[in-house]
Amino acid sequence: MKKSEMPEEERLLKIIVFSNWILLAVLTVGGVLLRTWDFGWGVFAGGLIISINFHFLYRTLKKSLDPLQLSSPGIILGKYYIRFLISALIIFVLISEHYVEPLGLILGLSIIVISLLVGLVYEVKENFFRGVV
Amino acid sequence: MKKFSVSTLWTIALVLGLSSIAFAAGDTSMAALDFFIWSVIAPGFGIAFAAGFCGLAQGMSLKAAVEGVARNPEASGKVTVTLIIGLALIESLCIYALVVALIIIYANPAAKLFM
Repeated sequence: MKKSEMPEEERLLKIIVFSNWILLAVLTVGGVLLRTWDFGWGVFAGGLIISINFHFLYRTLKKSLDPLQLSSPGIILGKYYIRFLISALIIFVLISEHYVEPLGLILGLSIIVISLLVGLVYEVKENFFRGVV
Repeated sequence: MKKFSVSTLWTIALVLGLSSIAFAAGDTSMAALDFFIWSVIAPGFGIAFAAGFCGLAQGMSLKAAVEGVARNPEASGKVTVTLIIGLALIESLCIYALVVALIIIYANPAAKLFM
C-alpha cells in the first residue's frame, strides 16, 4: 500500500513506531559515547520496555475495540496485568540492583513520548501544507 | 470498631517507643532516621497519587472511546489510534512516578550522606 493510500491513523502509527526505533538507536549510541556504558544501557533498557509495552497496548486495544477482532474481557484483563507486572518487575530489578543509571532509564522511558510528539508534529505539518489547519 | 482502636493504640505505642529510641541515639542518627522514614513515606504517597490519578484519567478516556465506538462502529480504527496515543501518554506518567519512587528507595543519591 502506498503512503498516500494509507488511512491517516495508520500512517501516524507507522511514523510513531519508526521514529521510536530511530530514537532508541540514536539515544543509546549517544548515551554510550557521550556518557557512560550504564547510561546507554539504561536508555536501551527503558526504550525497549516502553516500546514493547506500546506494541502490546496497541494489540490489546485493537482486540478490545475493533468489532472484527473482539476478544473476551478476561483475556484482555489478564494480558494487561501480566504486561504491567512484567514491566514493573524489570524496572524494579534494574534500579534496585543498580544495573543501569536511573537518568538513562528515565530518558529511555521517555522515548515513546518523544516519538508521539514527533508523530503529532509531522501530522500538523502535513495538515498545514494541505490547508486543513 | 474495637479491633480498629486496639490496632491504633498499638501503632501509637510503637511510634512513641521508636521515637524515644531515636532521640536517645543522638542528632546524627536522628537525622538519618528522619531521612530514611521520609524516603519510604514520600515514594509511597507519590506512587499512590500517580496511580490513582492515572487510573482516573485512563478510565475517563476509555469511557469516552467506548461510547464513541458504540455510537459509530465504523470509526473504531480512528478512535483506537487516538486512544492508544492518549493511554501511552498517561501510562508513561505513572511509569515515571514508579521509576522516581524506586530511585528514592533503592538508588537515592543523598543516602550516601547518612551512611
